[in-house]
Amino acid sequence: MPAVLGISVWTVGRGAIRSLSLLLCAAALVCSPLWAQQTGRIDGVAVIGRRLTTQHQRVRVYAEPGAQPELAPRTEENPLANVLIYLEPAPGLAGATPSASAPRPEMRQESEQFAPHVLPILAGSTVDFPNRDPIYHNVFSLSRAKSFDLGRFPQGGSKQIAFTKPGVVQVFCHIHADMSGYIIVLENAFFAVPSADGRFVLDRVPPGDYKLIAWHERIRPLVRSIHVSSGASTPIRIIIPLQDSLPAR
Amino acid sequence: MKEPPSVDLPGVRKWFGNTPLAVKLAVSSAGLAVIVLSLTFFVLRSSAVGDVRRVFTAELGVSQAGWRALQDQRLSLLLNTSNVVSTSPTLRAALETERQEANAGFSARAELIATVRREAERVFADLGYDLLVVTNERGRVLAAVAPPGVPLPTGLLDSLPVVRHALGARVPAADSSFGIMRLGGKPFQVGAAAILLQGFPIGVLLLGEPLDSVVGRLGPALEAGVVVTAGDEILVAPASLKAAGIDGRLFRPAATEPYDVLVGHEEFVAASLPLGLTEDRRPAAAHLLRSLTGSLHPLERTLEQSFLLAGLLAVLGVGGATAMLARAALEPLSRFAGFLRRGAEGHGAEAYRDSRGAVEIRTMIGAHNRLIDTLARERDELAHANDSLRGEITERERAEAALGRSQELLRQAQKLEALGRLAGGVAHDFNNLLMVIAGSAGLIAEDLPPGSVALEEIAQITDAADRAAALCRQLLAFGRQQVLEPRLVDLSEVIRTADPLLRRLAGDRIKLELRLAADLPPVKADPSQLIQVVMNLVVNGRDAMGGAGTVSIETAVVELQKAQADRPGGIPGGPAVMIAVSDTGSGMDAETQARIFEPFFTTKAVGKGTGLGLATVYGIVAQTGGSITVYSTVGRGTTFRIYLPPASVALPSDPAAGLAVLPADAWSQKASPRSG
Repeated sequence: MPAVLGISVWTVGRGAIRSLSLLLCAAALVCSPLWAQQTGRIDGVAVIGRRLTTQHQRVRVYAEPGAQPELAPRTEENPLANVLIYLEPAPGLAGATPSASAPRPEMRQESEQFAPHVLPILAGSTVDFPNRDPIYHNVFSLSRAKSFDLGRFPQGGSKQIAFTKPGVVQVFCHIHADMSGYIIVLENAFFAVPSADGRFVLDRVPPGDYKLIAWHERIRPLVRSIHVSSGASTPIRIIIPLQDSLPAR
Repeated sequence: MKEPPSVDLPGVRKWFGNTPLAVKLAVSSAGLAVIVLSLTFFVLRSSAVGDVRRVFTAELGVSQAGWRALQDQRLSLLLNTSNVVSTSPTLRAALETERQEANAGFSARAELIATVRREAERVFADLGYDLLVVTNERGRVLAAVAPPGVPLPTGLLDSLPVVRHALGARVPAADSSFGIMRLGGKPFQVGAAAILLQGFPIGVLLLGEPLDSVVGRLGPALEAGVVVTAGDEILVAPASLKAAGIDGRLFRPAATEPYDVLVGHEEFVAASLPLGLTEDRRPAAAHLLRSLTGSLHPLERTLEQSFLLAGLLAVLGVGGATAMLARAALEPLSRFAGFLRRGAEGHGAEAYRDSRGAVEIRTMIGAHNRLIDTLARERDELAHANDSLRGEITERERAEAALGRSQELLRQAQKLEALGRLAGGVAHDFNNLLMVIAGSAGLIAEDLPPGSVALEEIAQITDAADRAAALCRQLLAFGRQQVLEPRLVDLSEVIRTADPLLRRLAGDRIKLELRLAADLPPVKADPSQLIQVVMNLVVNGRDAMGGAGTVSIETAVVELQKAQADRPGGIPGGPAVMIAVSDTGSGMDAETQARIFEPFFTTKAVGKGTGLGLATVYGIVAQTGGSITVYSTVGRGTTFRIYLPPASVALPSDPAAGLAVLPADAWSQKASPRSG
């Protein structure tokens, strides 16, 4: 928990918050009780290279050609929330756990969305799928890592399923075609979702050389090599190269 | 280089120059009518062409807009279809899962592809399309359905512009979401729409149908021929236009308004509509064509026929009417020309009395008539001048003749005067001598005894002396040397008193007629001498008639003309008392008349006349202050007229006074000599 608090805010173009963030950061460093142990730490910033636009098809009927489109494409509200940073499985990481008490993960169905949209879990975890909407929902997956269909269930209902095989499991709702969610089943606990300002921290990392992976649903996973020294903080800056799938030439 | 066929221009000009005005006018009018009609025809034709073009343009504009709207609807349909397809959670889940696994480096799983294809086929069965393709977000074909015979697209379609447009975060548009794709050489109109998951494209749905079936369906509905081009290439076109050699460069795909296209010799109005890009990024477009030529052809034929007919009628009508008008207008002119020609041929210039015809012709005729009038007037004046000249000449001749006659008269008068003086002088002296002879003889006779033989001889002497004395007295009378005893007398009265004497002189066989005027003004004369004059004239008339005939004596008051009075020897003009003695005898010629008053001139046989009778008359009249004239026609008779002045008129003392005054005609007449 203190590790999470220690995240310093570092956001491009947000200088007003920067000084406050640095203070918090300093406080976290001083107060950390784990600092004495022989582990390293990764202080990273994820930057979205370009905000994705989403399409909402609207048909122009009887419009003259050449008229300007009236609808501005919508951009993702918080693209960083769908970014996952994790360390590729490595021998030194198998037994290590960044935190002792991890809560049981859950993926809710709220407002016809899976929430969170991206849910990283440790392999072997069981995920709850509570339905918070007053309508029926369904949860199914065609993914290679885990194929399942939990069937339909109403509000208040909840189903759970255990994910043992690492990989990306996409979940859908048979009733609502636009609902989708990602459960990333990981082999170690060193993963993080950047905060709204892009900061993430991977703490208590055993010193060594690792591959840091940045995942987003729209891109192929980014792989960065990183060296973690004992008792040191390794900064990293990752630019997520989001782009539309096939830009027009 | 071949010369154009040369027209015999001088020949034509000559022909035209020799053609009557009416024909010229008719030909010119007909030509003018043809020109006017042709102009009208071309104006009407271009107006009709313009109208049809406008109508076509408007209709094609409507068709263009219609097709555009149709394209929008087809886009709408495409997008809706895409949405419907997208609402299949299974399709989306399969697409998205495949995508994620491809991202993660896995190869496509057959069950996912089969799922996608199954969903595509399910949707395809419900749609009216011929081609359906589903690609993933990278343009790789995951599933494709097509009717038999059409090769299915495979592999990557990411170069297809419509796919790129759909996958790019672009707003779908009718001209960009549709395009042309060739499958097995057959062009398809394809539309692509993204399959979205939470606003992100996870694949592309491509729907298509063969271009010729689209065209075949839309063309008739739009009442137009449809040509589809890709760049300069013709993709679809009606067979007739293909045969006419249609070319893709003729069209303007970007034009938003209809425009004209010329294919071969056929004119079209075209409206273009973009159909997006082909796979090799050439702009494709559909072109709606309506044949202006084809539509105008019947109209033009009707127009041409109408105008041909109208033109023929107009040419005939105008030509005929002009010819008639010209003839009507020119007829007076030609009549006038004929009149002039006749005038020139010698019928004399005269005024032209015909007021018909146009005002110009009337003006011309009026000018001609004025000219003729002027000429006539001048001719008259010339004739008048000529006449007066001739009159003057005649007058001069007459004056000269009168002068000649006067001179002749004067000469005669002088001759008579000379003769008179000579005769009078001789007679006077002779008379004195005779007095001596007669006195001496008487004295001798007194001295002789009676019965003496010598007495007989002395008696003969005395007798001869007496006769000689009588002769002398006559000569004295001729020489106006008698002693007259004039007094105021009435001539009629004098002659009436002498009537018995005159009848005795005339004899029984001669009829004596007296026509004596009463109330004659008195004249101053010696009555015995007057009786002597009348007696001499009666004797002369009696002798001229050979013993039988009529002698008339007439007295009258006459008014003498001044011309007569002016003549030498004449009495003054004015009233005169006339004694006329006429006989019905043999008459005299002019030569004789000229000499009758000479003494001793006689035409009588020798011994029958003394030749002093008329000389005595002349002397007495002249001494009395009158004049005597003789008028004689051979075979008809002779008239002597004696004019005496009334008593109030003063007596002239002219030596030529009393000379006979003869009229002109009397001089020219041939008359036989007669006694005087």
